[in-house]
Amino acid sequence: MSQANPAVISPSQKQVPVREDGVLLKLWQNPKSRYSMIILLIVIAVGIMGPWFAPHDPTKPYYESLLAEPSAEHLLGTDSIGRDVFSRLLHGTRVTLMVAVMAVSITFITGTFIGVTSAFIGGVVDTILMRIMDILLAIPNIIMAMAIVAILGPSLTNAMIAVGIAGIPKYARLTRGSTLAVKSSGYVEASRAVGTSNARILLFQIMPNIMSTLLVYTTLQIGIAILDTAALSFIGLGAQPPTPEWGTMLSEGKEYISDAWWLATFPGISISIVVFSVNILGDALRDILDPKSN
Amino acid sequence: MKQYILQRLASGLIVLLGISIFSFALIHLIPGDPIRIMLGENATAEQVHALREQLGLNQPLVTQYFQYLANVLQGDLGTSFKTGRPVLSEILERFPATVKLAASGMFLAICIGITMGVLAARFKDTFIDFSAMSIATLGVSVPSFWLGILLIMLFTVKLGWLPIAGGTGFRDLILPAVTLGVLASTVISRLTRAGMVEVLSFDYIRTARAKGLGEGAVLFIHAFRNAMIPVVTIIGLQIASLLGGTVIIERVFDWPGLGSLAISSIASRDFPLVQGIILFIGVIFVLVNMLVDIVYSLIDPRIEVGQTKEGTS
Amino acid sequence: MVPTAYLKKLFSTATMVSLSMALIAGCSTPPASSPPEGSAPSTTTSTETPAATADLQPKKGGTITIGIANEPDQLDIHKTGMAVANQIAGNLGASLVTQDPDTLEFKPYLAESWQVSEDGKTWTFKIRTDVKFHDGTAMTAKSIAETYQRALNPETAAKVAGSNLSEVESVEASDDTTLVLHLKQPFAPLLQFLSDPGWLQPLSMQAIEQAGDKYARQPVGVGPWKFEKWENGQSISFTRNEEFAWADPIFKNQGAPYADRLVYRFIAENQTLLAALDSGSIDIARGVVAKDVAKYRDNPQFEVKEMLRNGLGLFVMLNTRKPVFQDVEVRQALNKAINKEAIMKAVIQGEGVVSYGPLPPSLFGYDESVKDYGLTYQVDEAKALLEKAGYTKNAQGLYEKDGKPLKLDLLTQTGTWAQASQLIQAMLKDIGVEVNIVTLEWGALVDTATKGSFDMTLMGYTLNDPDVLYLFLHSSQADSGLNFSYVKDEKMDELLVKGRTTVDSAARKDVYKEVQKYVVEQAWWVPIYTEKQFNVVRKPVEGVGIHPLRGLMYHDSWVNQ
Repeated sequence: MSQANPAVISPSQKQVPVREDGVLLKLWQNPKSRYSMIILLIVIAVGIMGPWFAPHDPTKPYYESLLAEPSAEHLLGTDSIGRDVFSRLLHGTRVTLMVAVMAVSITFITGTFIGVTSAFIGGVVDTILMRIMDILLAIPNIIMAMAIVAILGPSLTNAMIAVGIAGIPKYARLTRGSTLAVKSSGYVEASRAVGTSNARILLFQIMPNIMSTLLVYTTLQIGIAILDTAALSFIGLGAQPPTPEWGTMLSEGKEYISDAWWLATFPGISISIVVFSVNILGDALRDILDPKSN
Repeated sequence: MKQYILQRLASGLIVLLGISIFSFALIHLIPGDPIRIMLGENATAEQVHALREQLGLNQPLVTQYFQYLANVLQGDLGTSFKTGRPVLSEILERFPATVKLAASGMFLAICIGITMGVLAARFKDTFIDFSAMSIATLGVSVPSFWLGILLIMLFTVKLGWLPIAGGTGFRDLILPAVTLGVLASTVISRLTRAGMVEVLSFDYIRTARAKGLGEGAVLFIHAFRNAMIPVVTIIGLQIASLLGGTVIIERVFDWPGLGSLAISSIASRDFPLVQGIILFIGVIFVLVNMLVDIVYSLIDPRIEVGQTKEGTS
Repeated sequence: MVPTAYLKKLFSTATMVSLSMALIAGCSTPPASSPPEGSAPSTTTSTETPAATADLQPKKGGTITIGIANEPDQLDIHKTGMAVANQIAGNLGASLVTQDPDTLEFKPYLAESWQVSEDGKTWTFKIRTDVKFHDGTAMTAKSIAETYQRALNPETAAKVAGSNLSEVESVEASDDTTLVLHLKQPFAPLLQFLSDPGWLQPLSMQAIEQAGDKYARQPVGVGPWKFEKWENGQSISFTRNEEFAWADPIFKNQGAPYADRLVYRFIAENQTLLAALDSGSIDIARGVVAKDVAKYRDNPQFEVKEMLRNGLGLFVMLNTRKPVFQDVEVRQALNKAINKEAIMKAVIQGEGVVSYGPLPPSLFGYDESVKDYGLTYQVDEAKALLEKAGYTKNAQGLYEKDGKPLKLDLLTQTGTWAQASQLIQAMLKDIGVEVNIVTLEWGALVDTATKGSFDMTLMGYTLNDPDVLYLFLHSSQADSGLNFSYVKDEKMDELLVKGRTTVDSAARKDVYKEVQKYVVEQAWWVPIYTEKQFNVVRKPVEGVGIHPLRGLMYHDSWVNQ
């Protein structure tokens, strides 16, 4: 079946290794991706250093100022149990990014492994693996993630695992498609003819060639992972209190949407900005690395 | 052609079987010994043994699976723990609402997506292009439950234009369908733009323009039709995934479909229902995809080639 | 099907836990009925009937739509265990006796009169003869006897209804107007349970036989509303019972209801529920939380109906299976380390009362003086108690004993409990105890608590009689019941049995006075608060009543259109 999303997945027809040194420069030259990169760099910096700058302990309740509006003391106000929203947002940046990166790593490692194995070995192994991917693909991401968390029990780690697993099938199919395209290219056949070992072909010819496609998709997957984690939080299967994760903050904040606007607004905007930037960057990367696929 | 269709059916069937195994396995994936979980920590060994025997759990898994499969084929998906009613009737009662929402969402997504895509392509590299594509990207960047709540706050609470939780009538449908449509329009608008940009650069369009044809005619008669092939393909594929995409939106708007049933059944640990929903959605997904593929192979023989090259997997 | 069968059992252990999703249903929504005499202070009763509307004449017609979070599993009141099913099915039914909302006295209703034998074990009710089921059959003493026999039949596996009748040995109807209940022992809460139009309403045996399995979704009773339809996942609707001429004497309206239809609409998301109320999709929102209620209080278009919950809204159960909690000093220390006022203020905006003992002011037998002897927030004393119990602070500032730091799991569920658990975590962190919050959905929480694999769990209960403590603290309920704290204490058992068998209300009150004192002393629980429960009514609907123990009443309600 071909439920792969053509917008992101299309086995690249490139037969020749792409020179990737110019990618960063090209990204920088395009104003859209430049701003995305700047935003993401800032967000990553906040993720790394933010906690040092947090004015308050993100889990400490200030009983005397519950649901306080943004003020000099609490820049973005306080939540229903009197915790400083700004500090939670800063700490939450790290948590949110970590979760996304870990989830995507699960997707990336497992998906690439399955996809490459499938394409490289071919035959029965290929058929079996791809059928399994088809089966998993038939179950919507969010339902799959919900089922996994329901089985493992709700926690941030399990949400991360669930979101990661849910992304695997599409990823594996993409990797397989790209690998097949490279494998059938003239120079792989040529190296095989001169007796290059499979491992060498895999490491030095296939991997570098499929990397560009994978990079595009991995970037876009980060956005999906952040949104899926937030969706899990919305139905109560995400991060556990008092962890300041953006999706959980947004989900808690939605209960106060009409009387304490700052609770949902800031995490909501943070998520949207990060996902938006990631998507723009992913698109730009695709335009540069994999122009045919658009 | 015939061979392709047969091949397609065969692979679909294998996937369907796989989904049944997956949904069967789901219950066996619950950590811990189900009998122990069931009886609690104070159960005696005899009780455990007796119950295991009684429930047929001492039988090999394979036997249990075939029993399950046989039941499923007869339309028996089990009984909901919560309501004691057949899982299949629970699902079938909710399914129409989801189809309604998904179809309206798809319709809106097509309208929004194609308009934006055509506009962006026509005014390529202008501010209009930039805005249209930014909005399209924003559509998949905002958490859908937040967007839904913001729409409720604006159109229901502040403006009082649209109802909420009033049933499944037309006016109730607007907000959830728009939310879903915004979400699903992104891919369509991107593809439309890409297709149109490519087509607009072709010679025959230049010729048409040179002949003094109006811009509207050029866009919609000549360019659009040719740019639409990939778009139509993705629309077919999106229908199936939209059925899953409605999950969160149904919950936010209190839409009584399969998605809200999925959430509540997971929350109440109604495992036969969860199992049934997964099986059902999987089957629908596979059938829709199969249908879409076959229909396209009939319409456009080129697609068959593309499909088989990629492997029908 | 094999796997389904065993999982069904698995599920039922989660729901049943002997009886009682209904009692402990964690997150609010006012339930049904409760206790006699003098117990309820003024906070319990409703707010106002606005003077302006008092003179209006009720009109016939229209639909009253009620928005509520949970959908019941079924409406066969014997087979369900859900509090919401009882609330909804209460509209279909009527009770043997009724309870005056002001004096809390029991008065005749379906039973015109009743007598109790000398030994308190035989109750004889004289049943009125003018009552008909919705299916047209006449209701007699025999129908009621059969209904209760069905509830008592182990095959029915009646959850709450069965438990409410658990002290009934047998039921018989010697003729059409005489119903006799034989009890195993005197049972004080009996009238209380019989005053509930939900769980113990008469059912039409003919309808049950005819409908078979379908009865659960097409119930038949004798009440003011007739079942119309159930749209799965959306709503349950009732139509007016035109023949209804046997209204509960506590209502002004003694005939059929005014409105044509009564509809319950299920809306799981709180924000969506409120938006539905604001936009007029629903007329009444059930279980509005404290934080959302203020804006409706100030708005003349809405009327807020409030009552204090008939039960302890939030408390922590300490699991005495764990060695750490076998030490009474540790249990007391935790009681002193938790700032109940702060939790109440943050979680329910102060809309409730702080609890020091196991009973709320809204239940019979509540002892005012619990405020004086209850354990209060005293961080220094809490630390001193832990040190006395042999704990010392380690390098990380955590208390430890024998090299094991004091780290405890706290079970909670999403919603307001999530906030409370985070506050408890922060408070215990302040004294040097680390708390790990485990969020579970309700069924899983009850499951885990029943199995005893936890340190502490949040809990709440609702019942109209202090006998609820028997279910939570008696040793017979430790292994499979609600006694999650695993209290096995002879003195406690003795007091609780005395509480349920002492029929004289003054003497019974004394028993519960002692019960409260003992529970506080033993500190198995950390009581936190009892919240007010809010329902918001939108203007065109008038005359919605509130009973301090039954919650909202719709029989005098009408649509002003």
